[in-house]
Amino acid sequence: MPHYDLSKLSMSENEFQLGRQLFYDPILSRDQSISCASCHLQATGFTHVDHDLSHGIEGRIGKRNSMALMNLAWNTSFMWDGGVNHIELQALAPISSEDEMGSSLKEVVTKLNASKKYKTLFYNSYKDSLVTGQKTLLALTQFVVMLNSYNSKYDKYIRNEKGGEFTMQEKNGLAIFKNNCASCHTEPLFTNNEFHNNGLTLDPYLKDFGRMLITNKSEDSLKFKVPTLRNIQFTPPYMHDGRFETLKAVITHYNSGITHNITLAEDLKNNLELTHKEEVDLLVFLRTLTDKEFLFNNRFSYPHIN
Amino acid sequence: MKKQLFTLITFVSLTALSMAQSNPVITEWLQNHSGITGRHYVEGNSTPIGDNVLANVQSVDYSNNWVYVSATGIPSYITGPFSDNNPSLAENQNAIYKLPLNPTQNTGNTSATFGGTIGVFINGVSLFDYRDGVAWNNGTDALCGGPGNPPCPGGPQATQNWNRDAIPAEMGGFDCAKAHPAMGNYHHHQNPSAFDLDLIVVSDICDSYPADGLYVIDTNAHSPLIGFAYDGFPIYGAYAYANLNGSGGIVRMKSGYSLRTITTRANGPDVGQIFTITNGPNQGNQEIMDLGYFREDYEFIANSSSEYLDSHNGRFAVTPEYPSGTYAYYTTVDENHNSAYPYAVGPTFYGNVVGSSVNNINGSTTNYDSSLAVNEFDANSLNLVIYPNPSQDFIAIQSNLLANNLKLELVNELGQIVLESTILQGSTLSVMETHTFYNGLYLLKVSDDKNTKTYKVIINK
Repeated sequence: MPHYDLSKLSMSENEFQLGRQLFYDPILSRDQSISCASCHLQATGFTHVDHDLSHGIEGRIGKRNSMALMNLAWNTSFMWDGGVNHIELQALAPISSEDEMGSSLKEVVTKLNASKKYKTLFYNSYKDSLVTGQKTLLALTQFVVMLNSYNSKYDKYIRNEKGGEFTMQEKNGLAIFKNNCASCHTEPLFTNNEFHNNGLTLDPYLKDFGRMLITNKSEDSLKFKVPTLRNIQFTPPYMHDGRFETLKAVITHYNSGITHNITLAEDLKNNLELTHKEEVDLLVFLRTLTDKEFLFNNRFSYPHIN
Repeated sequence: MKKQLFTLITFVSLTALSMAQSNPVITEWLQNHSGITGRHYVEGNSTPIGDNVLANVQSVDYSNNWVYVSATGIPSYITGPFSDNNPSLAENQNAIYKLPLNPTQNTGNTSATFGGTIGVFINGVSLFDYRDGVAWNNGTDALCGGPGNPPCPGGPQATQNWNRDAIPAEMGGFDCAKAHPAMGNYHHHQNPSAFDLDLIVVSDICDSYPADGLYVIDTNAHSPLIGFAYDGFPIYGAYAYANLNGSGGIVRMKSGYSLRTITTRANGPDVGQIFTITNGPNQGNQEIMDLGYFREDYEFIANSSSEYLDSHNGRFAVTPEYPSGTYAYYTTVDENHNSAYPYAVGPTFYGNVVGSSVNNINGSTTNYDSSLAVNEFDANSLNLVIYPNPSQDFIAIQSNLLANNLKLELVNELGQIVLESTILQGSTLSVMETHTFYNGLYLLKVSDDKNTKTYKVIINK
């Protein structure tokens, strides 16, 4: 069952297409330079890949790696620190962040109301051409809740479908995954939606304490949202600050690089100590979470209409 | 028995006859004997689509004076996508190119190159000159010709004062192999090596849509013969012998053209003037007409040094295929290996332009079947590069130009073949995914039909 109540949405094609236009339109940023898709590119699992920290207007650099967007209706919270707890409100964060789009919902609504194209699209969706903040956020929600990835090789293996035949190595990798990773990266979403300290050293420049910045509780220090591992092959760099460029580096971290401190996740107190062959098999399994039908689905790509 | 003997004798003598052929314009074509078909990318999908069209050259027939090259115009490397709203794809041209066996110098008025095919690469793909059909119309103070623009005065073949240079203008529409189609006719205007092999990479198309191109520049060896111009003279890659007699080592061939130092253009737009396209697929695009926007921004300055080419972009020199010397064109590049004007052939031909695309093979001809020729498998001349080694998730195996398919087999310590691949004739690269393999020593066996050479590969993750 999705966490988000999908009955709140019209599920209409018009609203979906409106949301898609908004998602790909730099009109959401103050200087028309950044769209949602600037950091959330479809072919890389709706995240950026060629830099660690997100980029905003006027060349500004954010404090965190962008998150991959998929299966969001099942998310109980958003952002690395869970600072947003409702999907309809999530877009407010990047729109108003000075380091991202540097705008405001009010400014966006004014610009959309001045656009004949958007007046028409809003009318088609809501039978009212007046653009409001609520409708803008709803349309964006309608688009992003449709970004669902469920046709990876792993999914086909679980469903016993054609194309889901696992090799011995993939089966072995899955077993290693279940024994060592699945308590946090829980199937089938490959996240348990919780916040954990996964033993990364504190970056002395970013000084990012994660969840504690939201809750002000010391027990949340250095805790970050457990991200999904779906399409992980295409979403480097990894971790909240993009510090690891390869999955091999991520596994090396869990194998032997954990920094111990008081809030460290219970399950990480012992190193994984995987052998070389186990590491390779695990990496091979992680590639089975790649869903090319999702990454190349034309319905989610840049809208070439208008 | 008698009949069999006769057949055998006929076969031997025919074979001997074709063996006797040594004219490169007959022997150098990449004849497709293994059924290689074309592949192309479409925007948004990094998995290529297989096409039902044979790649490279289909047959070569010759008479006393001519060679007829039948080709689809489709390369063995992956074409597309063409990201400048070009709706065309590389399509089967069913072409027959007729070229002279004995090309001759034009001693009269020089003939300018023209729009469309002006030569053929050894894989049957078209060569175009610098132009893209767009020019400046001083009467209307606007660009003319090409998609979206009004026609130029006098039509597409009329001479204009200021003709746009395709290489910078169409950069966004070239695929990884630096080519694109015009109404289905896939063509290179320039050195046919992949963009990502240049020393400074000027297009990121290969990141999403990798392809390998016809050959790889090797700065230590004479470039391969890669095609023939319509006057019948050969076209080589970017590096050749320093001296005309074949001595002096290998150097980069240098264009004799350089940009003029002008700020205005007579009967044309000022240097740096901005023109906004008002119609067609690129409507709203702003064209900045900097120096180099038009090919007439260049001037030819003769240089007596043998590595500088003449005004046709060629020179008379010894080459590996012509040990007693030939006139030859070169696909010029700059020190970063980016294409350098005039790119290949032109803006005028050296020879008499007697070659063309024809509809039929006329008169009595003999077929030349390159599969009957003796294939000298020389691992050293392949210049095989295996990278990275030690490797982790993949190894790339690259040769500089392949006249025949090359089979690749990765063998583990137990002697088992764990991975197989092929570098196709007329392409240069194979990438073998090694992400499933454990650390260790592997052997890469490289072979054609007759010979094998083995290389050590280390996987170390």
